[in-house]
Amino acid sequence: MRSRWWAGLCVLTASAALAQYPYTRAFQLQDGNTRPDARLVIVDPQGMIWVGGEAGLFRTDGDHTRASAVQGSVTALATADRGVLAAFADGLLVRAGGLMVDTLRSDTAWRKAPIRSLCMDVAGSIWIGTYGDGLWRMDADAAKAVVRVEGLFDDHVNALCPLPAGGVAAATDLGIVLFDAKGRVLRHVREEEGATDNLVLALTLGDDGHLWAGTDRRGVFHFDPNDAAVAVQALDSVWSFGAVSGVHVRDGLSWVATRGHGVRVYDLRERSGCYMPGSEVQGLGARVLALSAGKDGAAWWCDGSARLFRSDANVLFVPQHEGVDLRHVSALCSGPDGRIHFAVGPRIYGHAAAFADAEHLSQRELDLPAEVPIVSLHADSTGDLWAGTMGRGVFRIRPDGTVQHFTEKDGLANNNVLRIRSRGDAVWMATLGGVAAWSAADGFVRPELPGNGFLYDLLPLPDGGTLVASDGGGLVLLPEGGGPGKAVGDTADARPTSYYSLALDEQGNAWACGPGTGLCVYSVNGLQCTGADHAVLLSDVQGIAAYRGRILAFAERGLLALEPGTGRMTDLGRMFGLEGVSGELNALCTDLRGGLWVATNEGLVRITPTTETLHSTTPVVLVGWSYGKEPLSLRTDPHLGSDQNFLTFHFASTSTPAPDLVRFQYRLVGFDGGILSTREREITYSRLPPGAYEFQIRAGVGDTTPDSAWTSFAFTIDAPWWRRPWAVFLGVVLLSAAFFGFIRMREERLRLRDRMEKERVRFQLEAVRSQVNPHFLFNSFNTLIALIEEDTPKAVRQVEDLSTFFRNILQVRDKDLIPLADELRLLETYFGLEQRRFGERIRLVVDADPDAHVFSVVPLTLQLLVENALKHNSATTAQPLIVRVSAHGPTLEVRNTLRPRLAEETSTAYGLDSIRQRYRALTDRPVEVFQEAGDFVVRIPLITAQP
Amino acid sequence: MERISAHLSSAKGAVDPVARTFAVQIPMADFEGFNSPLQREHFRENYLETERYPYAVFKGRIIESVDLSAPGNYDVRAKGPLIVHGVERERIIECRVVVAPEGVRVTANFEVLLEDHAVRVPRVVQQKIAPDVSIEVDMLFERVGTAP
Repeated sequence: MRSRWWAGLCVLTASAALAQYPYTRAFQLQDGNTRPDARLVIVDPQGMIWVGGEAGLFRTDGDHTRASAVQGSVTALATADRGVLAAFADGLLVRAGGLMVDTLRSDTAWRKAPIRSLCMDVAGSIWIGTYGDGLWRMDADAAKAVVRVEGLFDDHVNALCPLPAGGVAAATDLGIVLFDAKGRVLRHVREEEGATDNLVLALTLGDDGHLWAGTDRRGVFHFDPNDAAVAVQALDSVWSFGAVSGVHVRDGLSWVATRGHGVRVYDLRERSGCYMPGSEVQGLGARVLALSAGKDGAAWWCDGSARLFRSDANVLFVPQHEGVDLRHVSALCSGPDGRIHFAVGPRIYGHAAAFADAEHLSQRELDLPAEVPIVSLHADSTGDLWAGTMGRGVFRIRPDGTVQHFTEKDGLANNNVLRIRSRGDAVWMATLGGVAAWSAADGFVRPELPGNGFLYDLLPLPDGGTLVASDGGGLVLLPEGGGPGKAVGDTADARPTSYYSLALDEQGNAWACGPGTGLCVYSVNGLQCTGADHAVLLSDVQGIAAYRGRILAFAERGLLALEPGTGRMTDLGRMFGLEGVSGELNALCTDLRGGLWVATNEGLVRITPTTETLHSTTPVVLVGWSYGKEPLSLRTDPHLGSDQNFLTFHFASTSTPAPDLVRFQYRLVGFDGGILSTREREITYSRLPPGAYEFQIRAGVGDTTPDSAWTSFAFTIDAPWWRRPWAVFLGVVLLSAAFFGFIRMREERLRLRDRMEKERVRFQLEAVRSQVNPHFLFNSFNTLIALIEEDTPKAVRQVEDLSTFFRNILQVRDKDLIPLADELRLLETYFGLEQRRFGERIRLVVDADPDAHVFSVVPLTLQLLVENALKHNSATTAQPLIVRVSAHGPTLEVRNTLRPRLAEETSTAYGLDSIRQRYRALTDRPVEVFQEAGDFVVRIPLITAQP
Repeated sequence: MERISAHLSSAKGAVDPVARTFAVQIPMADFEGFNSPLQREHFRENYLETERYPYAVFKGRIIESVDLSAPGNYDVRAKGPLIVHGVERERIIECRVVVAPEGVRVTANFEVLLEDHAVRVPRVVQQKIAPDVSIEVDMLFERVGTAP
């Protein structure tokens, strides 16, 4: 109802001076070499800004822009529950959020016209408006199937908007149709029902619960979607700004984007049309194609170029008002009635703090020459307005309009009055000749002060004292009830200190600031200063003020906000476009509505920072993360394979007035504890080892330390299978098995070697024993004796042979193996000895392949076997014992006719057994002993000689 | 900035007064006038590329529910895609329609932004050529038959 009667007022005020504009900044969109054109813009629930145009769909936070889907031109864009919906000219319909892009439909057969509008209703169903083929719906649980919604009186849908109670409103060329969640028609809103124009191009749900419609020709109208009884109302009945391309209503402001007249902002709270054609004033585009409101109360809009604009209604520039140039305001104050007073030349103007156009400036001209400026203004609690001048004393303007003029003649300390403040009935003035205190009862009083009396500011304290800021004499405290003032602060510091500005904070502490002092607080603990080396405070500080728990200092180099609790300082000036603007002394004041006023050379600036901007922290959004280029979900259980260790994190700072000033700090807990800084929006980690990690990001504005808490995202890179517990266990088991196996083998080998050693010793013993066998010696000596008598040379040879034989035995005794050829020579020597005894009764036939000589045998094997043959078989001249030794391939064979002796010589039985044992240690092949066709055969495996 | 004007009289079109739809086709190469033949050549070859995009097309519907078969003067809005230089933009163009017994006369004024239709103007001549072009339309549609 409220809006109804102010709508009527608009008729009167539409032509009022249109001189306020919200601070608007342009941001260049660029992704690599692509400069996407922005024809559509939407701010999603996270605060990310999505831009659609011919180049495709892009997301940005104002400073960094990245392509999301570039499959051609975007024809429609809408917010979804965690991102946006976008339709492309070639028929693709996607849902995008963070880094993820899900295709909803890629076919076009189901509709005959292009998609012009999209929306997601409260139940999650997606409504699709086409231009020429009506309205379609894709239910949340319908597996991407679309059904046509009947009931439209026109198939040309321009805009869609979800209704709070479910369902949507569809704006067509011929009016608006409201549907419930099931697609049944609830209501029509056309010219017959009060709409200003049937051709509705933009539709939005305001935070007042109304549906707001922007039309082609007749501006904006709005209505209650739940109550048909409430009349449809026009925002402005006199509309001359052409087609509306976007509307947004939030926090009492109605933003209207027009195709030819920029962005216009209507202040609904002030019960009057308050025009703020900021884009035109600042020389930015008059053509606006789309507008979307950010979470911080600012609006983002686009004009079809590669620039994106942010207009911040919390920062209002008023360069002129009703023909008054507000770029030369010399003094500024706010009154107890909520009005703002400011002085331009000899005139003092007054206006309601909200600067609504319904009210005109009040004006009072003082009798002053043009060159005498008003440098101080004060509105006291009785409604009197005080104006101090340079050289002409002070004026008191009564509410009834009468003016009193006080000068030095009236007892005023000095005619140069730089600051006026009051406490109770007393008005206090800082002059270039000391303090002047005035009250209606006593007139002027001049308290005693040390120093030269050049004063810039004074501040009556709640406890009764008065603090005075002097030139060169520091701060002086005038005690309650009179008496001489005394210096405050460190008097040991001999340097003369000047203070220009004083302010009282909400806790009753007094703050002071002068050249090079920083911001100083005077409390029961004395004077404490901070930030003396801050760039803003090193420049000329024009004024300080306490504002919502902060101490603000407006200086040539910016607007600094100090948070006393933490000592943190933020340069709001850079965020609100106040860099490069300058002001006058006494250029800062706060109004009773929470606005901060700054008089600058760009005009009056009213800043109403949102609580977020002033108090809280730089917002950080973790947009998503990806493995290489493949986006990963932020929601699913973040367990990655061991090879998925090339990870990129994407983040942004949304809903901040100056995304280009944001600096991030990040760290990866679990990888390294170090904190790194960046102003990029993505960080890549390569070759992360398996483990549990937590990526953390926070941000701050400018070079200050980050002010936001860590935003964290925990994830795990799984170990590869061979490092999982079961694999490790298995590995340990296998390793121990192998170890034990090795130990066993080694033991076996040692045991074998031990046995071989024993065998060898025994074999040697056996061989030697057989050679020193008394029988052998007896036979040999008998032969020798016979030969000595019969054939001396032969006997000598026999002894020589015997000697050779024993020497050979001594030589080979210690060896494990000797070449077959050596063994055969040994055998011949031996057989020669035996032959001398047996003569023709024995015969040796050796038949060895030439290549058999590469093999080796255990020494004395053949000798032992032949000796055995001679020992166990009878040999006669008629039937000589023929021993055949043959070597074919890897086998040595000793064969003799089996003709056992009748008188068996006792055997140690060691012979063959010993040979078997030795060979078993050396080779797998057996020593074969068998009888075959009356022959006794022993087959010895030949051994490949070891090099 | 130089004033450059050109005209043609070979545009073709049709209006269905009952369905309130229309279509107009403009052969872009037929524009005559300009301040010099070189300008015309640039218009055809460099900017509008008439060999590639010979026609500009505007088709769509008339929003207002007026009876165009009855004689009289009507202010209506024509809404639909305007295709110039191969780029389609939806436009709402206000027209004055005069219905007389012999036919329907349509007059309209509107602007076309070069940027909207991807008409690239070299930087050197950007000073001479405005970013938008004013179009004046005066078309007479003869009655060819009565609607069923």
